Amino acid sequence: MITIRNLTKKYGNRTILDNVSITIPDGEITFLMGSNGQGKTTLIKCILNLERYEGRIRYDNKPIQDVRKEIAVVHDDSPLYGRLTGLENIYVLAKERDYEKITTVSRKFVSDNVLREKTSKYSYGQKKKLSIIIALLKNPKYLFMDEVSNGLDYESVVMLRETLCEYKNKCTVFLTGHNFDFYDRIATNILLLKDRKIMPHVREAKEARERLEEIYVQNFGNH
Amino acid sequence: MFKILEIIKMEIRLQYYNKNIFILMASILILASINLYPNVNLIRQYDIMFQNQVHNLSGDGINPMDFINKEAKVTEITRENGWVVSEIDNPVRYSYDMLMRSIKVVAPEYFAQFSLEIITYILGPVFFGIFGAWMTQYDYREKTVKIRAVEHDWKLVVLSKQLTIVMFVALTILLVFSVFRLCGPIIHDFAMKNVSGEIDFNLIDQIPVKTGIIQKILISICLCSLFGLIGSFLAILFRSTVYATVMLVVYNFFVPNLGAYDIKNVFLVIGHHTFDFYGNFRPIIPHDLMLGVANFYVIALLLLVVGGSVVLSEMRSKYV
Repeated sequence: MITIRNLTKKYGNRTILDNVSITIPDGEITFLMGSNGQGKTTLIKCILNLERYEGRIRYDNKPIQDVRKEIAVVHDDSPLYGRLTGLENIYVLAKERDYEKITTVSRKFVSDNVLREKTSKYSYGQKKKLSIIIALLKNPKYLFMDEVSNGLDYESVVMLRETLCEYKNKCTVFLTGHNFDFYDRIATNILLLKDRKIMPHVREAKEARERLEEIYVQNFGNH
Repeated sequence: MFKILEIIKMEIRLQYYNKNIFILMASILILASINLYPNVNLIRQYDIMFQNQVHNLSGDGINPMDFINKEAKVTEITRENGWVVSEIDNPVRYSYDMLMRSIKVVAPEYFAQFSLEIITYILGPVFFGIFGAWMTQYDYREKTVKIRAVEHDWKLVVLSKQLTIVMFVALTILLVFSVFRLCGPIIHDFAMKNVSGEIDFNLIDQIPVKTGIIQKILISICLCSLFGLIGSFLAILFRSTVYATVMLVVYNFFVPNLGAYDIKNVFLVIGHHTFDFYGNFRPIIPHDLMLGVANFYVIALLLLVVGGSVVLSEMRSKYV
């Protein structure tokens, strides 16, 4: 569980997040919804301590310094070492050397041949897949994914959806993005980021629940 | 401490995979090897000069040994136009001494030592400086800083990168030294083909060296590491490997000695107390500075560069 209390983030005089207090629970897939430029990525960066902020963020009552190893992140731009192969990136970034363990996860998304190529030759989607593999191989307790479904092919989207449903029982999952078709079926906890504030959205009963697209239109309009 | 070791391990693995460390080592090894040729030419020149003088004396019916056995006195005279010229009272012995010194440079047990001079003063400042800049910048360029800054405190990563730079500098210098030491007999045989007369090798052993090999290696590692760390500092300061590289190249090759407290001058002061410079590389005489002051300057600069890099890395980064 991640607790955020009185989080305020400003860039100069511009306030991005204003006194935000939320809890990201265990055992659920939390989805943060908001239109472009509202501060979704900034919130993730604050939670990950990649940005300076005012307020208090705790991972199961511990500061980030105590749980760094238990966090895995898939960034929108999927940063990787371009001169290294996919496998070497896994060795370095996931610190996993067990080839069997690696292929158990990687084969869900890419072939072994792709792992042997330099990542500078990867497409956007392949980079995204490798970032997901690295994040999953870390066996994290806290998993963050920013625009994770962007660039993924259909099979990978299905596989990722299944994998995340498995992982939600093992760790705290936090997602942001705009591909509502993907998030609709897995998000169990929805947060809305609007006007520098974050508020939880309570979905209706499962059998007649609103679709994320509807929630978005209600709160953010058609744009 | 454990965290630092863990990050260093990761950096070593990264350099191994992207092969940069091998490129660095191979470049220094090849360029330092090329330095053999000017030294061989030097031997050839001194040998011709000495043989001509011996031949001339013999032709005049004078025994050359009378001159060879006498010391040569070199007096420096400043002319009216400010030029300094050397006056030599015994050119035969002088040529002989120069020949002996140039042969000593390629002697099996010495070539590796003399190569340290080239590495420390010509190749190291630029190559290790660029390597340091690159080591510090690649995580920013690849944006992997966003992953690594989550795993570890970024200040710790920067500090570990700097320790890795020092490690790689030491490793490169030791490797090049070892290769030249092992190849010493081959290098010597190759160079001696240019000497026409008989050489008394006992005389070569009598030519003094200023310091022992361990001290030379340590000084070389220390000064080259400092340039590696300066490269790292510049890369953080300018957020660019290119700017750092341009600055290092311009400073090392195009900026003259700016005075007693110029880094180059300080390094030369230490160099003139450590290295012999018998080979083709003869650096300029540095501005006066006490050795103690020079040593203190190097330590202070080291602390400043390391501390400055750690502090600046946090201020200059968008993410940490």
